Amino acid sequence: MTLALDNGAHPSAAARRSRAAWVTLALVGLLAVTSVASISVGASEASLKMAVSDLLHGRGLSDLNRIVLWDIRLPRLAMGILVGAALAVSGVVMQGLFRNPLADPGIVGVSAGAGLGAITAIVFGNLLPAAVLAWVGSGLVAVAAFLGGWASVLILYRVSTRQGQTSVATMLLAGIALAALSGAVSGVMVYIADDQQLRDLTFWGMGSLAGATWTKVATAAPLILASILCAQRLARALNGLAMGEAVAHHIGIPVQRSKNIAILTVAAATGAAVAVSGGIGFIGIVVPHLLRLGAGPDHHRLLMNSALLGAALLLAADMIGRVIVAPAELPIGIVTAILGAPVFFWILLRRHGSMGM
Amino acid sequence: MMKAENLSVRIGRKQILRDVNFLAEPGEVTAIIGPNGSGKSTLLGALSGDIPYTGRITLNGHDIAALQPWELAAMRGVLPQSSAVAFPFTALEVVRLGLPGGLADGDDALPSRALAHVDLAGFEPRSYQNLSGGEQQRVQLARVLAQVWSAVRRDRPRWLLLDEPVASLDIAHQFTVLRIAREFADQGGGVVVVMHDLNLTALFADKVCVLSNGEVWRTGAVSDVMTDEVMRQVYGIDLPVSTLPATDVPFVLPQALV
Repeated sequence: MTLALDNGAHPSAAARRSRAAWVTLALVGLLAVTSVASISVGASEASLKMAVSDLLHGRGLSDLNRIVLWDIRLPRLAMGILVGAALAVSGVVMQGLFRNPLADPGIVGVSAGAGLGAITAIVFGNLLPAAVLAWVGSGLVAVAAFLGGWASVLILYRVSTRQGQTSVATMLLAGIALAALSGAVSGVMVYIADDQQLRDLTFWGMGSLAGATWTKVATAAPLILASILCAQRLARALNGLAMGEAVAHHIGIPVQRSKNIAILTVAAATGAAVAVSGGIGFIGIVVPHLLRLGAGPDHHRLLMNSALLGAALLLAADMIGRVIVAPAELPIGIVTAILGAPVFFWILLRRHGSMGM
Repeated sequence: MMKAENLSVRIGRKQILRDVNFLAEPGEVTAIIGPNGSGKSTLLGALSGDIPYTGRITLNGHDIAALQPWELAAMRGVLPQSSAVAFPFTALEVVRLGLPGGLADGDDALPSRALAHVDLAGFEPRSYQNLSGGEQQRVQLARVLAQVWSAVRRDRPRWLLLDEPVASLDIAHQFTVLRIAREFADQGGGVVVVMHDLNLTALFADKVCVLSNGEVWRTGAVSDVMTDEVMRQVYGIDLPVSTLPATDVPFVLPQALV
């Protein structure tokens, strides 16, 4: 009887949980729609319908369209989903780690650090012994980006966190310094680089899904999927950390270990995303913020929902970039910045004065 | 029981606690009192396993340094002085974080009972960040209660460690909270509570540990410890301690100084 009474007493709490479930379902639908649209939008008239008919009956696509579909649009779709999910999940984990909704790998210099790692690998990669090079292959850039991202999160965390308290101002300022430093060193790399390398490098400044290949997808997928799974396992720890490290410890969370795993997770997801797509900002801040407003901050749901919405949002931004100045293509980083920066300002304004800045 | 032997804590260069011996028994409310900066919260922090120390702390016979965080969490709940929550969790969600499975734990009945217990029935859907300081403090207490709801588990006492639990509360809720502590002890659990209010301490504590400058000045029953001497030597004021005629409960009246 107590049970029935208790459950009846607060319908809105149960409602919040069931709303989160509906949100997940809606996001799956949204991702499906954007995926179909992403395959169909573009200069060539290839569409999903043609692709399905081609698969089933072996006709419906010209050879050119088959190439457009299988070697350009589908890897681009897969990469968009992976990168969008990775950026959004890194945002959630970083925000949980720093206990702050403004932490985002793009804003506080983690992407820049990962980019520096990737650029270093491109410029100096061929100095490595041939055997090592053959062994790491195309993964070299991804691994270097991961290491660059990892170093950045570690530095950032050391600088801005004292006794479990993160200072927002210090974090943002340290992020600016970190991004500036990474940018400067990257600039030096550009001068050292030869022509072919320079072409590879130009792409980092932009942030784009245009260079998507199945090889890149295969390089990024393991790191990104592993970090999403890892993040999901951190859900309880991130919930606890929201109340501070002391309380997290009191309720039985291995705080130091969770923090280390969280930092590695952010570095892996951001590093892999940056390695294949360059610097794409604001996904990590917009997506978790919208979802917290809509379905609450519980990380068990937030992480998975963020992965879904991040993927859908990045695909949408990619389509906007492809269509808006067609036949040219607007780099996706510009689109996400235009969509995301206002949200960042909005959070700043709303929380002004309550963040101990 | 909860026992600390030769406990010393150093933060930076400053020695905060020096050779503290402390004992709390299940079934009792043990209060830690002392002036500002005497090391009360640090002692509670060390007993909770939050801050590094030298010496030895045992909880129900286990050395706490050898226990995993989740093993400790199953034995004791800790209420800090204040807790800010980073994201817009509801009061119910904050309380559910105390459950062994956290928010993934499906049990809503216990957290709701814990909220009702701290006089916050109906506060479940309210946003924690928008509550008043005293309400937040009671939500946190409900979270701690949800963590160690039964005072005795598998014949072992569980523990409540409370750091100034009544500091931000109105007088009625000061009683609510201290009655909860009393009840927990009466059910066989152990309560260690840092207190400032000497009259409430005298009313609710079984045993008092007085800290002064990082050392234990005296430990004992309320009537043995709460004396004119403690006021003079530890707090440095000449305030006489009186006792109510009907009971032995000592009290101090600040007006006696005027």
